[in-house]
Amino acid sequence: MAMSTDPPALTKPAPLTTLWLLLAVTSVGMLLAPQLILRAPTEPTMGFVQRIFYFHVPCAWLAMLGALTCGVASALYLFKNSDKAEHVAVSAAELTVVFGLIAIVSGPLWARKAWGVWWQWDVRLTTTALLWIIFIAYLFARRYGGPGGRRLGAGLALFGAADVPMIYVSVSLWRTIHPKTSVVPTLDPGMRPAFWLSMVSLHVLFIVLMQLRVRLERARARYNALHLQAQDAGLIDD
Amino acid sequence: MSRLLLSSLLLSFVLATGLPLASRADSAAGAPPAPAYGAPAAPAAKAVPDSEGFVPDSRPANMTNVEEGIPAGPLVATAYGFIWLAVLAFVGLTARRTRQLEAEIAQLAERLNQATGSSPS
Repeated sequence: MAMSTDPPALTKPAPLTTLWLLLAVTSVGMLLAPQLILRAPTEPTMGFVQRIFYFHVPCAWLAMLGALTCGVASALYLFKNSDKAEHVAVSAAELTVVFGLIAIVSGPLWARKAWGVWWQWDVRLTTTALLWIIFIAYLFARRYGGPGGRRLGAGLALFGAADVPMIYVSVSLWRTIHPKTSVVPTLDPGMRPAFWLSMVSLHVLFIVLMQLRVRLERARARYNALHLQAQDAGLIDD
Repeated sequence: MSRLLLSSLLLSFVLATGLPLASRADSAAGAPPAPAYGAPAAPAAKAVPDSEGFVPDSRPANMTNVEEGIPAGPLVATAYGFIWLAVLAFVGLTARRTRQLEAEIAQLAERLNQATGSSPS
């Protein structure tokens, strides 16, 4: 069996004090964000429902960020045999599923009012749904794929990461009813504080969740190592 | 903090601020600069079909039924509530799995300790 060659400090979890500090930052941000969102100017075409934008967009971004992180970490696992990178990959994949689900649920709630339909097979929506399905498949492959499940999952993660640029450019390359990438740079000044506070708070939340999840994966690795020792010592039969 | 995560976060913010394939494509095509998103709309000019007859519209004809009386408040509240629900479920499940695993680790370590007479590595 090939030895693991983990790049130093790639996945070292933050100390607990840092985690608590980050958690405090995100909590304050998430409590302040709704107030700023309610005070932000109402978008003239869509009205009040457009306020979903302030957390739908950051969550969709975090789903893509998770997918990219999982893709890079999976590549490190595949080509450098880094177990620690694999811990990051599975953590990022779970967060992709969580934030992707939030984007996929909040989007239709907005669309129902703004477009008149819950869902449209628009290229942006479809590629996002595809991303979510790929990472569900990743988790299933890793969980139920047997001895080769991790490598199979890592291969799937590369496909998932390749979908991210496609999601990003989809609104520019194809005809779509989804707002374009120019929305954020041209945001009305009154809307910026609410949007950027949500963006920063949710990004910090992502870091906290990522660190918690990586800790779990490290504990699992420690358990597996102990399990092997116990087997060698004849304490466990299987 | 891992370098990988930091790089991803940096990339996320760069892209979020609109590194912009779209804006570049628009300006290359000689399109007028996009109006500020969320600013009061200027009087709408009639959309002109392109060479293939496609009429650019943010809302196709079969989706114009937006005046129906669905209240926006519950939709926004549901979307915001769902974030908390999803995050709390994730945190709860992760915490439960970690606690279970730590209990099993402690149990295994104890058994190994008793069997070998030294702490397991």
